[in-house]
This record gives sequence, C-alpha cells and structure tokens, in this order.
Amino acid sequence: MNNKPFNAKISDYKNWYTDQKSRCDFFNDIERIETSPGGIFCGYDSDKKVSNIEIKETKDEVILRGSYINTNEETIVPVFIIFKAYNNDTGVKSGNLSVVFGTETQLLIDEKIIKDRELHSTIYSPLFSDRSVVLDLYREDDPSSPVDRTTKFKYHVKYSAVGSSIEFSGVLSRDLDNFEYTDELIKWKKDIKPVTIKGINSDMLYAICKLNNKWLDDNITVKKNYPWLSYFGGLLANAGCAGIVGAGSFLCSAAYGAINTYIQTH
Amino acid sequence: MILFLIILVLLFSGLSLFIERKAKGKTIFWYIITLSIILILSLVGLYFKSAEKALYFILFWFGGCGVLILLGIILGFPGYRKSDFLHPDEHIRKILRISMSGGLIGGTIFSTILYFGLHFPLYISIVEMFLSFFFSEVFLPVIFVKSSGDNYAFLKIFLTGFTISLSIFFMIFAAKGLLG
Repeated sequence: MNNKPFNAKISDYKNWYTDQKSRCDFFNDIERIETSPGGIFCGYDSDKKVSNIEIKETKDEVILRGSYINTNEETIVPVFIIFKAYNNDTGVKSGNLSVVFGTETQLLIDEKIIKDRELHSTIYSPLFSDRSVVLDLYREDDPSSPVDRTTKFKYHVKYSAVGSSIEFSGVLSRDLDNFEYTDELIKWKKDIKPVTIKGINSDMLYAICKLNNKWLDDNITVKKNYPWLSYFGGLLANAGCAGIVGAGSFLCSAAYGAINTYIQTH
Repeated sequence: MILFLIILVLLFSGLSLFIERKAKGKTIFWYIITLSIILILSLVGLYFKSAEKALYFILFWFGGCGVLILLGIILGFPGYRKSDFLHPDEHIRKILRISMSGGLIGGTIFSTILYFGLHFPLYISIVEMFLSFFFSEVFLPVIFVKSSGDNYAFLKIFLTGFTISLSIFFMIFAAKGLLG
C-alpha cells in the first residue's frame, strides 16, 4: 500500500531464476526502475544460460549475432541484447538500453549484416505477439568508408508492449565487443546521478536485473507500484468469485425449500 | 434442515477449495468470506417461497458477481495487467476469472431473455445460467492455457466466455424448436 522505494537486493532472490514464484513476486507491481547510466552492459548472465551477444566486425561489415538460451525450465525466458550506455560527461549519450528480443531457443537476430548505411529491423517475439522491438542501427560517418575500430554506429530502439513503449537512442561504441567490466566503467558508474526509466516492462527489468546481479545491489532502486485501484480491483474480483460459490448454495437451498414446501402442501 | 445446511456448506466450501486450488494467492480471509456467503445464501435460499423470485435473485446475484469480477479486472487487479510477470498458476487464475466474468454476464443476459422474454420454463433459464458459468469457468481456462500460453488477450477470453452463453442460448432455442 505504499509507494516508498526499496532497494532491490538481488541477493534476496538468489533462486529467482529457478524459483518462478520468487521471481514473480519480485517483478509484479514495479512502477519504474532507477539505475545508473552505463551500468547495463554485460552480455551474459551469471549462470551462463544466456550466451554472449556478439558484434563481429570484419573489414567491411559488422555482424550482429543474437543468442540462444538453452534451458527448458522457464516459461518466459527473454533473450536480450544490452548495449552499454555512456555518460554525457564522457561525450557519449547517457541512458540505458536493454532490448528483450525473444524467448526460449529461437535465434532472433542472426547475422544482420550492416553493409550499408542503415539496418532497420522489426523483431517480434514469438511468445509475445503484442510486443515488438524495432531496431535502427546506422553508421554515423560516411557509410562508404571502411569499418574499423573508430567506426561508430548510432542506434535507435523502440520497444513496444501493450500499454507501454520505450525508446532509446545513442551511439554504439567499439567497446561493445568486449563485455568485460572495466575499472573505468565501475568508477564513473558511481559518480553519475541515477536516471529513471519509466514505464519499464517487467521482462525488461528481468533482463536488466539478470545481467547485473553481480553489482546491482547497491545501484538499483526499484519503486513498487501499488495503486489503490489495484487493491480495490482485487477486492472486487475476489468478492465476485466468492459470491459465485455462494450462489450455488443458494440454488440448492432454494430447491430444497421448494421441494419441502411442495411436500407439505401435497 | 440443519443437517442439510451443514452438508450444503461443507459441499460448497469443498467446491470453493477445489476451484481455487490452483490459486495459491487465496488467503484465509477470502475463505472466511466465501464460507460466510455460502452460509448466508443457504439460509436465504430456504426462505424463498416463490421460484420466480428466487430466479430474480439468482439472476441479480450472478450478473452482479460477473460485473464485480469484470470491474476488478478492469481496475487493474495485480495479475491482470499486460506487463505483469505471472507465475503459471496465477496465469491460470487470471484467465479463469476473465472467462468466468464473460460467462456470467452472458449467462445472466440470456437467462433473462429465455425466461422473461421468450417464456421458457424456469429450470431452462437456470440451466442456461449454470452451463454458461460451468463452461466458462472450467473448460475455457484449460483450453486457453494450453493453446495460447502467455499470449492471452483479455477481450478474446472474455468474449469466448460470453459466446459460450450465447451458444447455449441458441442450443436451448433450437432444442425447443426440434422438440416442438
């Protein structure tokens, strides 16, 4: 019944990946998540069930390759691509980008080759037909020039689900082909004021938390969403269900009363 | 009569537990509420002398419950929002309630039409109501859970519950024509 923020301690949900109930308890009713820009960049989860997102680069092309999740124990398992976000102070756009692409073992992005100026791709998750991710990725410089380590790509991602959509844009750095933490990142992560991502979807949060559970504990704030309408709605729905069962007993006792009256009058 | 009441209360309490066995979020509080409603309605039912009035009451009650559930869903009961990450059991519960509200509202409408509009016998109207509730409550959730996974649509499930009531209505209407 309160809107007080609480610190999401991933350590409290150690079994959250295998214990669906814990995970659901954690993700429901989340209004928004606040985290530090630049914090989300890891491309794998701690238990290695999600493989790295690869961004491979040759002399004249860049290949994005999606990941498999090789598990059968989950009802909903997002595959995601996380791009690192940068601080304004360092000259690169700030913000967090996380893209939930799909589920289970389906490969959703496979060798999208950016040869020309632009890659535009709409990806529909197979399990959630009402959600989509639109990814625009294009060269910032002259597209005819060869791709090297200085090449930067601009991205624009729009993640849509029923009732919410999130758009991100920024610049892809070449650091992204290395998903390791660096001292530099950890340092500026602590110096930056939190940004708020509103309207975050639970499975997006799932991805964020999942990827960040090594360091997330002291950096992420999740605000629980407990609008009174939800409670009132729950009350009504439960009352309705309780009433239905009662209606059956009414019918039986009314029939009993009617039969009794009939016997007495005849 | 007291023995009958005890049996009735036990029977429907058991039914309530059976129906909600998958809904682990059900609290003791709601079991007590359900039990109280069962007890009160059992007592009320015994003192209804007119079958027609009993039908009025039950139509009002069923329709009211359907509307309550629907309102609850619309107002955003946790678990009904699209973005909610649900435990599979909660998912079944969600589908169950949406389909049930469709079946109840449809059942109320078509039972009323059958009895008051088309002058069918009272028991036919009750059968319409009961079958609408039963099919939308018991079968639909199973079908939807198995067929659609998490890709549910509120309107689709609600309308399917409603359509079941309509189908039963037409079946009854057709049966009358066939049987003369």
